[in-house]
Amino acid sequence: MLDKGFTLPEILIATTVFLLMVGGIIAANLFGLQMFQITQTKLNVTTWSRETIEQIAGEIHACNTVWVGNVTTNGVFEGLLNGETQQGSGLLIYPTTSTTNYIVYFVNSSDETFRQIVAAPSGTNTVILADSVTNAMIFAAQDLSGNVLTNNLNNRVIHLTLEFYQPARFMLGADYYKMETSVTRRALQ
Amino acid sequence: MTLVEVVIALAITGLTVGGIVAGYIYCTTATVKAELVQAASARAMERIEEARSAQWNTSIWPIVDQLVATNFPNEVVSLDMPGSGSGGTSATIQTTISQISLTPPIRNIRVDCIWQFRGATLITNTIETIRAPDQ
Repeated sequence: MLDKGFTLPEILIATTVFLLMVGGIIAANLFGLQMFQITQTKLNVTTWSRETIEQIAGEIHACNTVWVGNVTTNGVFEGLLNGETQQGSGLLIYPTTSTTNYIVYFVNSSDETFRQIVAAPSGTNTVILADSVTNAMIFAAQDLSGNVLTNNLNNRVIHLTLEFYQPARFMLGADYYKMETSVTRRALQ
Repeated sequence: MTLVEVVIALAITGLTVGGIVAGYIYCTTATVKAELVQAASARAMERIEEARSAQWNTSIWPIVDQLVATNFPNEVVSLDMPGSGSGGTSATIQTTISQISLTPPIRNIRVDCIWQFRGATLITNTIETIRAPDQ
């Protein structure tokens, strides 16, 4: 007797099972892709922030002088005077006694970028370190208890606060990140 | 194809997909935990920097000594990490200052950042440093 083949219900059930399998595997892979993107973003942000903090901390540790201030729209750094609240959008670091060598970190409020300017006799180089920075007053000089100073105390702590926000994108929700660090200059004079 | 076969096939598929999803979730959880460890370490480092800024000057009279435990009480902070949906994780910063030697005067600064990962066991990140006066 010849085989009759599959009946219509058998084929329908087999197809349904196959579709369920394929659907499940595709859903799992899409979920994995989403997890991968989230994880990748988190790791990138973490790596970047720690590397940047290490760099800034190293420069402040070893610097000759450090000033908190604001960077004007013309790109000019204006340091805060003794008596003013030591909180601003920029930080000026003199690595040595030379005033021609300096490093400025600041937030450019027009495009919400966090930038670094390195000035040397050979020229000036500006680098964008991060974007989507939403807070303006990112630098503060504090005392050992975390209170913002109103004077140029020698042994102050430089506190950095960066807040990032990115709106929702394809397959990714809105992302918010706040990063804080404190650094004290080592070479006190 | 019998009903038993269909059920077994579905069960195997479910287990396979469940395993894949569980793997992804584990990786994400491990990433979040690693970030929190780094954030806790950074918070502890902040307190170390604050302790480094404390005046301890033995070369003048009266001696200035801000490097004492009362100036660094326990503090509850939030750990910085990316992701708006991840919720905040709090940590407690504890500072211990102890004298290592009087001649020369050297003190040990130990900062513990204690936090809890998703309600599980407590995790402590510790950073220690030593310092002398006039630094």
